[in-house]
Amino acid sequence: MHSTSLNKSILHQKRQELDFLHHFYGLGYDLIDLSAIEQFDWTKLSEDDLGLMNERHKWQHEGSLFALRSDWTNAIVRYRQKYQLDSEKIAYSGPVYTLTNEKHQYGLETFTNDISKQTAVMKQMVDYIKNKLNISLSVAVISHNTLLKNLLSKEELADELTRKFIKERNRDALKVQLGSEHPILELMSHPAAEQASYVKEHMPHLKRHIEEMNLWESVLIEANVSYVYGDMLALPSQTYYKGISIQLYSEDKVEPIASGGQYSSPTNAFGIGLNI
Amino acid sequence: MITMALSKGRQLKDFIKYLDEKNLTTWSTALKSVSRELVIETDAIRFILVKGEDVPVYVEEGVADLGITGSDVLFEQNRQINNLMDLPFGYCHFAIAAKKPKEVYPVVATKYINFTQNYFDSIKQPVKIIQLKGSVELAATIDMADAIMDIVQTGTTLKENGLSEQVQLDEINARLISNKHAYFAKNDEIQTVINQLRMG
Repeated sequence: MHSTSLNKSILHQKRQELDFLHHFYGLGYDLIDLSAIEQFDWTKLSEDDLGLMNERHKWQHEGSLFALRSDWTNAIVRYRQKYQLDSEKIAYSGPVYTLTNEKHQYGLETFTNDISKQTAVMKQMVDYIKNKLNISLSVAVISHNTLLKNLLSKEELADELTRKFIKERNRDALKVQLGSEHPILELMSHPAAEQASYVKEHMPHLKRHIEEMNLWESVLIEANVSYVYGDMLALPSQTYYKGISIQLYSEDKVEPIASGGQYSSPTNAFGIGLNI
Repeated sequence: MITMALSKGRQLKDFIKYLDEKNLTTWSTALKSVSRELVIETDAIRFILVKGEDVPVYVEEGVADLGITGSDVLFEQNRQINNLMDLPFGYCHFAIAAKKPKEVYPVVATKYINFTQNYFDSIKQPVKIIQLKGSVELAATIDMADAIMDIVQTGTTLKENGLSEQVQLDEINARLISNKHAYFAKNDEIQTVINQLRMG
């Protein structure tokens, strides 16, 4: 027998999902729904597909490979590679599955080169979190997925151990791996909150990246996010992430409430997803 | 408030000694008063005392923002955490130990199966690994395995069991780790702890 609070919680979740879709449909977004089961052709698996397979539930049936959706943007990227999608802005909601749990993602994507249109989508998501979900955002982290390409050689960037140490922010191990004179070591010696200023001042060839990050930062500051940090050490999880990436945190929560970023597949786009 | 997961036992004693050396006496006094409690709170930090191998689990899950554990534990577990800083205690090293030196060690008993597999892969030798939870020395003493892979501090335990160190491998010491998101979400507080541990 269900308790009243459990019944109410289920109704609340379903209503919240519908509210999200209604809200953004009202703002001119087209709605999209895709199957949670994705089909792959063994002979056409990309590097990104293979990279994600370790984290996905997958099985084989009659010569095809099937997997449960683990990330909406990834599913939309694949959809766009296969089919024509005329909409400039879309909204979606639905489950994603990792190996150990199920999450509900609500998200927005916009397919345009226009940065002002991309930041407008982020702003609309921030407003939704603040005004409709009544959650205040305390911290935002902005990174640039091509920054490290300019700090590391191709070989260094491809090296598995170097990537692991960068992901773990393990400066001691990187010193052994890359040598103590490597510019990334000097960058990492500064507290995370000061690294963007360090790059701006000492690495003028990365000025363009920092300016791009500043632009997104100003939108978040305008939206009253208390602290906005620049993360100089982000390694893209998928090759199609080629620009800005953003994570938004609510007060006292360790997992980001929303995360998103710019990607290119095949044309430039921006997406942001809300983790419920 | 920041939550830090600490390993019970010898590493906790080493950490308290280190805090005293750095004049971080508020923390060390709170930790010295521990009898059976598992949660200790000071003004700015909450310590939770857990098994050494579980420290990265608490940090990865976000129950703890920071943690201190041995690099041996981090070698073995591929956790999504930030591995921030060397701490100058908990020194020991990985080693292959056996009754006598041999050219190859085809069967090795260990708690550290990933580290052992990586090592034998790196020297291009096939190995059968027997995973044990404790008293690993026994496996080589009674010839269940040709050697053991374990962490060695003084070598006394090996000696007492008729074994000696044959190959000395990676150095181990204590590391400060953080949750990936807390690193930014609580950046100010974490940076303060790092500065205090560095400078005292």
